[in-house]
Amino acid sequence: MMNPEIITTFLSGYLHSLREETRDEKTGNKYGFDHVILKLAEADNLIPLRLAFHRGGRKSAPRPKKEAEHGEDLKVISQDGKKLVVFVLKDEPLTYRNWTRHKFDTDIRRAAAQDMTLPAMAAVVEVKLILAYNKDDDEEGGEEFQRLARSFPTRLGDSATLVFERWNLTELTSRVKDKLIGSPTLLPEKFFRQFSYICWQVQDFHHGSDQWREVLIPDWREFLANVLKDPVGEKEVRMVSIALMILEAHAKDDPSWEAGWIELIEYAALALFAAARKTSSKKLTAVISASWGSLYLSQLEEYYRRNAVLLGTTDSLAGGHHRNFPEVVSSHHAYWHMGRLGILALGLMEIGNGLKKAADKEAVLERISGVYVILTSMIRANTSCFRPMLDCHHLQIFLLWRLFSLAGRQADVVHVFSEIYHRLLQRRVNNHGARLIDQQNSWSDYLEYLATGEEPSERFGRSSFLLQMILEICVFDLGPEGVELAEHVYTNLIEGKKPGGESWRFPETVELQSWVPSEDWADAVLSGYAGDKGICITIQSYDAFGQFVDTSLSAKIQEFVSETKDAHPFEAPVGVPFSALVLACMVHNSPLPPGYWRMA
Amino acid sequence: MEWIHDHLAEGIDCGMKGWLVAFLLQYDERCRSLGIAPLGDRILELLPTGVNESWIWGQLQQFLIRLLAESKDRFRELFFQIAVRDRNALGRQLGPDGAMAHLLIEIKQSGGDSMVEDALASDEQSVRQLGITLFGLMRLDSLSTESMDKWTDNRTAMLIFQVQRDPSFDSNHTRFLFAISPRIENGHDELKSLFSDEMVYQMTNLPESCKGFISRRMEENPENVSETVKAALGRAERYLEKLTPCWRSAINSMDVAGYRHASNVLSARRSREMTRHSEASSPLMGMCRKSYLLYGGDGWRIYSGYGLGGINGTKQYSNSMEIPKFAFIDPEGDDIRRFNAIMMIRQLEREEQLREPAVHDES
Repeated sequence: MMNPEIITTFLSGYLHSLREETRDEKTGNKYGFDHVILKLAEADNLIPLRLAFHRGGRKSAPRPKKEAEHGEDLKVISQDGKKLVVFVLKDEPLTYRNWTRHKFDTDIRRAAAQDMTLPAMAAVVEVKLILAYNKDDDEEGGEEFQRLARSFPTRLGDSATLVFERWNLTELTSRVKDKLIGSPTLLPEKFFRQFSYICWQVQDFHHGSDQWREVLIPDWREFLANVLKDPVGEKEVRMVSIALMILEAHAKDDPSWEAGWIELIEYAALALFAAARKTSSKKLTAVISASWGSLYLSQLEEYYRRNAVLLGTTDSLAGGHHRNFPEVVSSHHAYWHMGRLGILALGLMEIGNGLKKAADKEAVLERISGVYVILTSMIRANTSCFRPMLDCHHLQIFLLWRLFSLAGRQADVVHVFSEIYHRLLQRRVNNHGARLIDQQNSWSDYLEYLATGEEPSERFGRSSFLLQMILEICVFDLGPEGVELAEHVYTNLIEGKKPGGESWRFPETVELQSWVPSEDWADAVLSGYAGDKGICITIQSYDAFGQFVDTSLSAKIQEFVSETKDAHPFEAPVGVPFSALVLACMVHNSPLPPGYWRMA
Repeated sequence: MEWIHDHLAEGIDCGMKGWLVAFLLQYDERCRSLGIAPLGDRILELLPTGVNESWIWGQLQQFLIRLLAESKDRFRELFFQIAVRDRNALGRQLGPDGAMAHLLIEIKQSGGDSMVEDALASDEQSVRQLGITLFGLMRLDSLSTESMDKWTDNRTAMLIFQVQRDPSFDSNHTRFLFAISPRIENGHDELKSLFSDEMVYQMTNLPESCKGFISRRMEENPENVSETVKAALGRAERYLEKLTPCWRSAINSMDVAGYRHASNVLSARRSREMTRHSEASSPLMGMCRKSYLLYGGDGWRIYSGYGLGGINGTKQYSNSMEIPKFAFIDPEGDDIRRFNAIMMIRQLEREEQLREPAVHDES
């Protein structure tokens, strides 16, 4: 879970990005910290006497009042009417130069001049004037404030004392962290209703349940879309992190929450990258990229550090609370973790590549090697890692290959692929319930198929992108052992021939398939399923005449890949980390362009 | 009789097989007296027959019981040959619900231990498997040291691989392994390791019955438990202990889409299958009228047109059994394990065949 330092960093970043006033402008909604100050006052049971804006209600942003402010932006009073607090708000740094330029001096003077004869002030015994600004300050700015505060009398009217306070960004952050971090009110008022409902769902729904997938996730995505509406600025980006923090405070007291939390961050990260693709602002892109590392990857890393021992425990993934279909459920969990660990390692590598100092690089390398250890021990301990059930599991297998291959561990890849092959063959041969890999990538269909024994459609399990990927990787990267394995996979598993040439007599044929993504693949996959665009290539047979004449399987595969690459050249998209694109594929069950394993 | 002899080779259908056995039971003695070859000599040609043909197996049982009374050697020879022909069916028929359960009692009473030991020492894989099955069904606890001392390490390993090959749903295999554990102590490290791994597998596959069995032995008399078994028990306990915190942990608590719906469908399907099976196994149940009570959990009564019947209380029946873990969590892995065991048995058999002449030469 998020540690206090990260919370402080994100919170101060968010507060810093806000303006003085929240209001609706022609260029879009502008969010101010006046709203946050009001919520802080309300958290202290203070009642507003004067607001600088008309509240906007459920859908619209607050509108500024067209009246003289007299320096005071917000005025609140205690329930018993004895304590009056007047806020002077500034979204500028408190410096010597700004003291007069941005009317710090004038506004404080005017705000301090309270008319104590008003009926509302009759019981007031203390007047506190707070200068709150969501930026930094310098010494001279602070001195100016002190000088001015000391120049005022300590009493106001006949009975009230006058006190001055100054809340800079640090103070503001600290107060918000103490009083508002778990409250949806921290977000602008227009999101309150929608976001409160999401907080309630997070408190109630079990991760992965029907409600989670069908209610919470769509609502969360809709909320993200609303926050990140064009034009997206820094405030909106930071607001997403704040929303996540608030959600965390509402976490369900259930072990499933930890993975659920990761999933919520994933949707947020993808929405942010989708927004980044639409902006030309380098600063904004940098903020989004930074949040990928500091929010998603760091949370993922912490999650796996916490659970490393469990993942390395033999058969740990088969020990959940599911009594039925344990072989399917454990495969689901194994591939969930394999994917996330793969993305974590890949993401850290990308961060490491961007670093210049040797010491920093070394530190990242150490973190990466920690991820490798967890991944390897999980695979050793859980045979479900060798049981792909959906075609989209090619993503996790790809990641595994990529990571092991980068580490020069091709022998481990051969071992994993070989285990996968043997298990897939046993599945097809022995007529177990789970015989095929579902190319529709639907757990629901798969489980129903196991429960009823009826295939959900006539094409169920008849095509495989996953096996084509394994064949290509075997031939291109795994040396003679890989080539041999590819021959077994193709002959036994695809063609259904026993080593002696006899047929296994599988009830169905499985066709290999490849895919060419559309040009806008990266944009499409960040916001949804991208497999329905582009061109599908079916491989009817590598040996057109039932046997390889004057050639071999590996030569045919190489020929196929070469022809496909010439016909459909692939260029990796820029601007979004590759690890984020793989995550997008995983979250949306979308295929990964073959170009990624062909370019390695 | 001669006509039957002539036509046996052409093959006979299932229905005729039972009549043939019944026929030979009555007339084999007369055949001998008339100089016609008895049908009993050709009984193997009737096999394999269907597992569900309980009448045929029942007839065969009578024949075998008579043979056992006449000559143990001839019985053993035929019995082992039947195992070679139809090992799986024979194993099932000897079980508590099988048609040959009575034969098992007869074997036990006529010195079943030696029959088991002979079977385990056989060169035939199916006969060795029969030995393991008989060991379990006869609820034996031990084997004679003399017989086990004759086994080579390879032969002992073959028995362990046979245990691997045929899954058990109770503690029979563990009991068998426990019985051969004294032999393991004299074996090579590789054999010890194979044995230990298998013990751990059995105890973690069926913790309640298999680990329970070994734990009870430990409680009763730890001195009778070999070091290898103790070490295996420790490993199994550690495995299960480490799994406890994984239960409902953050790594495996997420739900899978469609799981609940599929579970409901599966439960309904199992319930239908159970009803069908109970009706098939009990003709009486099929004749009974079924009522599906809507309300009222405390009792029920019938109005039949002749007045209101008395109040009957509702009763709940439930049954539970331990499910072998690995067949469910890793079905393909379990298949691969069995496949590897078959390969290993073949390899060890070849090695034994190659070794045996050398032993004879030396002798």
